[in-house]
Amino acid sequence: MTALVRTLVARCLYWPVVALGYPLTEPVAVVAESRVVAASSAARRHGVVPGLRRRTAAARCVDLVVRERDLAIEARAFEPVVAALDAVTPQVEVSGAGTCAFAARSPSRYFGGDEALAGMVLERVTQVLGGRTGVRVGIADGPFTAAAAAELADPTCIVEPGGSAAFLAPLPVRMLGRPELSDVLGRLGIVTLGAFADLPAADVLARFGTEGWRARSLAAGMDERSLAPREPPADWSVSVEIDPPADRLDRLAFCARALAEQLHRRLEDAGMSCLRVAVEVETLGGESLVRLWRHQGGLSAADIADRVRWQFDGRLAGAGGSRQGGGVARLRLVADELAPVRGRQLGFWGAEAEAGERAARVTARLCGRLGADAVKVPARSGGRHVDEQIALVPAAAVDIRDRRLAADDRPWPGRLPPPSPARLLPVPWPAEVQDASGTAVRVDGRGSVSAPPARLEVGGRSSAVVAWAGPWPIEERWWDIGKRRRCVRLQLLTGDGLGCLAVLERGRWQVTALWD
Amino acid sequence: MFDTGRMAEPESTSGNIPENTPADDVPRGGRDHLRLLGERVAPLTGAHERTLPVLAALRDLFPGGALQRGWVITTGGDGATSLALAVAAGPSAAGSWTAVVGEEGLGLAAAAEAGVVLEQLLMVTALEPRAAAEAVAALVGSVDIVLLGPGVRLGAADQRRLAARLRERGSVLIRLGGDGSHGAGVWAGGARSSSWRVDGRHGADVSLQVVSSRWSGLGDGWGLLRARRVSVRAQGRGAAGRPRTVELLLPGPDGSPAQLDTRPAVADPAAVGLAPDTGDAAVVA
Repeated sequence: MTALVRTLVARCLYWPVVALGYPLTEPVAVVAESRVVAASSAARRHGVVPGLRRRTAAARCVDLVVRERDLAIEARAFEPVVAALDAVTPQVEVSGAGTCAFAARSPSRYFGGDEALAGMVLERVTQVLGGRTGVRVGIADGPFTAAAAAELADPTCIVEPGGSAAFLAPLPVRMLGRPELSDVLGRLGIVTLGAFADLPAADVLARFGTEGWRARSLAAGMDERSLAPREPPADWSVSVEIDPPADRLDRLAFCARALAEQLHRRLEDAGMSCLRVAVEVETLGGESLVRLWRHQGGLSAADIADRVRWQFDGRLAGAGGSRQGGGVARLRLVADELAPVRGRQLGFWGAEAEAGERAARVTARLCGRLGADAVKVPARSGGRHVDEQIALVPAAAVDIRDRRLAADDRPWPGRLPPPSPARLLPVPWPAEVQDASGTAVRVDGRGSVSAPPARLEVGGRSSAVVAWAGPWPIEERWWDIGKRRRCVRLQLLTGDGLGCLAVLERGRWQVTALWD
Repeated sequence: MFDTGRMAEPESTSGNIPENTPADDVPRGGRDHLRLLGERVAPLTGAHERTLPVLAALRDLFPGGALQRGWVITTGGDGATSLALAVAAGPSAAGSWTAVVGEEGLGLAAAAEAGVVLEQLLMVTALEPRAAAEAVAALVGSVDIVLLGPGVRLGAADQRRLAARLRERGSVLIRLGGDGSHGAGVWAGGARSSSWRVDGRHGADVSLQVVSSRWSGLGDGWGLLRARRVSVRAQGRGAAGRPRTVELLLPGPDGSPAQLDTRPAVADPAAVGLAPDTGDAAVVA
């Protein structure tokens, strides 16, 4: 049995909210997968707590600002905090949103004891945060106990060496962070970590498997996980001075290509591939233009060169006056996000992979000639309306070679069942739906039609309605005055065989889709 | 212990030669064996490689039950869009990529239901006429199926070049509503001019026309559009010269094209709430 690592955990409160730049006095909730993961103190006063569904949270607090969680922003905003701790120890592990940990034994001895260390960490982090949020510091044996100590700290909590089990014993089992397990334990009448730790290890292993056995070790204060210290970020950037300044696109693209290859060689040596690259272009007049390009499948040297070309192309096309800035004097590429190269699995006979490669090549070519938005690929977006179920995203932003669309398995009450209309009208046709007497068909608040529709008039062309169904109402986002939408839909089949979807919204009928 | 009765039979003496090899070929020596084996293991290239599979429901529309690479196919009539998607679905399911040019209103949910693999679909939209021709030329050869929207007009010279390129590169071009009688096109204001004529010099290789269609499932204030029984006529030139007419469900109840189910429940319009005699819901073009 290895010795437990004395660990310090520092936790910034409400980090997902703070990282997005909101003050805690504003009611803000950060959601991921439609569940609240963090809420500001103002939101908590209204009863918005982590774990709530997005809709319930919005209902509890009327002026709640709801934001999607962005792990990248959280990590970036946390960087200054970690940098502040670099002076204490070089080996800081960023363990989660606003939480970092490091081995405390040596720093504690150097700075004169656990209390002094905790106080100093608290002071440094508080200083960096500048009052945006609070900090909690816990020191204990092992990362789990230290995290629990930080959870209960006010503002510091130190668990004496060897006191982990006693400290953890009265805490609830949900501290383990395993909802299913704590649910089962709760039903078995085991509510505290102490009670869980008291169970015989062999029985826990038999009933809950290795996972449960590990959880029991944690509960008993035996957390042998070693910390993974953060590597100081390497500088993945290359730059080139262009002299004389490049004033033509092809020359810039040529420089970009060479530079991209240089960057790639360095990445390759490190076994990394680049997911996002920042292209910085500086003109002779000192004007600089930075843009981030992201690609799921890793950017090759040619991909990067393409993106430089698009960026400069856009600049030439966009602002007429900016040409005065002169040619491009400096080009810098920064590999912003890296991932280990995993290699690409080719199809058994190579044919499918080859088809994908060909499609990717022609996509890149068309994007280069016609603009980055010319080629789009479908992505599932979900929604009730026929035009909301599948959205189009620019092909340049994704790796089209091996995509898997999300399964269409979420329930959308009110969505029309298949067959879906084969033709959606980008610009809906204004229409008139009339009953037998020639008056416009209305739908009342209870969702019934004033009279059966008998004629459909589109663009001066009138046609008999031979079959119809509906009206099917949709009322969406009624809580949001800017985005609320209320409409009813009718499916109509006209005498000339046209199946169409007529939508009544704000008192006007429109044909939005055709079963062509 | 290996000397079984079977080993003594004359056919089995050749060891690796499969059993149905004619016995008189065996004594002629190694070269013939090799030739025979070579024929057996040779990949089926040629004609097989030059075709793309189609959905079972559409198989009778095309000679040989498959799409010939290099073809230009036009679809027209009520349901031209569904028909084009149905044609594209077969190759797409077999791993081909599909590119849609100049057709912003394509219902992608319907495409997925028809069997087009959305992961292998490119949409090229918002194009100038000149850029559209360029895009199509670039896509031919890179993707197997190019679906061209009715809004894209190509000049005669462009069409000629494109047809040659299609034959050379082996892609299939599907021209949506190319012959003017496209149902939705009529509604949008006037018939579209014919750009790919079947009998023209640079015409389509196969022209698919929905000659009659009848929806089922929608009643008078109840139900839902469920399936459409269509009759599709295929006309073409060369091997596709003989006109063929096929009845199918386009779309079927789950959105995908289905072979006609001859059970009375679907075949009899009265059973699904449409008046059979008035012919109101049927269109005969």
